[in-house]
Amino acid sequence: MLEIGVLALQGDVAEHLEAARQAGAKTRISIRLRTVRTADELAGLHGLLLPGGESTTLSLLLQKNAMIEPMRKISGLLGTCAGLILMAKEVEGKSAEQECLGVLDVRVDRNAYGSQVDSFESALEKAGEGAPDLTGKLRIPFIRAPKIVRVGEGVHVLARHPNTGEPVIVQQKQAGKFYLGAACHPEMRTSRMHEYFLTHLQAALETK
Amino acid sequence: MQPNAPIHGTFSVKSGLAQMLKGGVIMDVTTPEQAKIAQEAGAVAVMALERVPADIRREGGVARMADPLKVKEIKQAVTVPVMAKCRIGHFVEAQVLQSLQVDFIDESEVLTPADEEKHIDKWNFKVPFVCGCRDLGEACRRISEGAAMIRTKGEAGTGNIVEAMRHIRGVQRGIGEAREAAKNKGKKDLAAMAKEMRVDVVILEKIAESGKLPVVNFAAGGIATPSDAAMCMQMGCDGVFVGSGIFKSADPLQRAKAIVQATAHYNDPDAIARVSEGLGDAMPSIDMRSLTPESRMATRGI
Repeated sequence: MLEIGVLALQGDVAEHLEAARQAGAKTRISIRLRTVRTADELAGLHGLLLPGGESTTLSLLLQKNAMIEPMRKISGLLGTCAGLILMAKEVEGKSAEQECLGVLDVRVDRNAYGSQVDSFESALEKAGEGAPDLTGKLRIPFIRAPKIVRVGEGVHVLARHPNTGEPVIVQQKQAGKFYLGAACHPEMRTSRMHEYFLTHLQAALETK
Repeated sequence: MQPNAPIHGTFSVKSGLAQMLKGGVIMDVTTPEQAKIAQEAGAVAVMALERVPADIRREGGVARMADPLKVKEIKQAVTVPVMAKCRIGHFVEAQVLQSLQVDFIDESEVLTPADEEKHIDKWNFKVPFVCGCRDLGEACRRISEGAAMIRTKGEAGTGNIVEAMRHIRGVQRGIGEAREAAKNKGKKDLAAMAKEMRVDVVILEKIAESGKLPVVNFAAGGIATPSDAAMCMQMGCDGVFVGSGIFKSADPLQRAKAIVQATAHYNDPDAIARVSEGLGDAMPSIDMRSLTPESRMATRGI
């Protein structure tokens, strides 16, 4: 039984809950799903989903509720958009007081795609032969999306922007840890990314 | 066009931004300094406008879209999304706001309506729109016109939550009636209900089936305290707009922070109690009984 939480302070929480519920059913991995708003509620989680939302708001609420340090200890993290920013090691354009988890070795540029008129939806390109197909042919929304501008050595690119080739979904595996981050919002269209997360998180926990 | 080519301005991209704002507080600001305070307090977005509703109410006259220079300055001051208001039916103000690249346009009854016959055709825009409503019919009409997000109207600039509650209940009652009608137990069937509301029956069928509006639904109009915000959340709203409630209060930064916390922890009375301590005076408020029918903003653009 995997204990999976969805950070529910702000953002597209319901979309992540639904994607995770479907992913549990499709992978037949038994999960217990709950929303999380305090440090106490983080206890016992195997995986935490960080929703899309406003990263300044989320980081402020995480700091106020002393959640950042305990979140760094969780084995599996999946973050989309603002969730990716929270996980990233380096963030361009963040304010000095905005603290992030810094566990995923990428550099992201906040809102680099521009303002809302520049938001778009697009099919994604698999990052090469053997890369998993996390979104199928579906058009995935990029909403005032961050750009992944640097990828660390231990980070593996899973999907790219079809025109520019920029990485848009990445993963990082290390001893007993599994991190999955997307600049876009697969949760709005599909549960495939969540299925992938559950499968790999379970494997990471078994090899721990 | 390539099948894979990115597309801009689709409805799901527009309503998608509203989905990302859920659980958050959107704050009215009139200067870049206020915008920075709002962001520091944890606002998910700021609403740029010339005067807050309480001042519009007091000063009277025609209230219009903000000066483009002010919108630009506010955009430069913050990284969170910037919204701006245009008058109901004023499609050129909306075009101007789109050209300024604001992130969301509020076609708002708080400003003086420009057209009493038609709202803006919001399908023509790449920027998403939010519109106010008092009941399900109004919500459905605005969604049919292309609104990507709905908020209750409440009664702006009063610091009185009573009208927002009336409108939240109004929408919920409508949804309940649509569900009943769909099950054929109601007095009128869904088609008759749609006709009465002057909307396509398809949208009502969708609502009857899902039990909720097809777009994100925030509360607005009269929210002045952390408890007000949390009550709207417990009523099932997706988030809150706070207009005059912050910068007309004694301590805007502390009150703004408290409202953000109360919105995130809306089901935790201990947390709401903690953040509500010692905030000083709320904004000057108005009893509805002292408002004349002409001074009510919620009855504009229905």
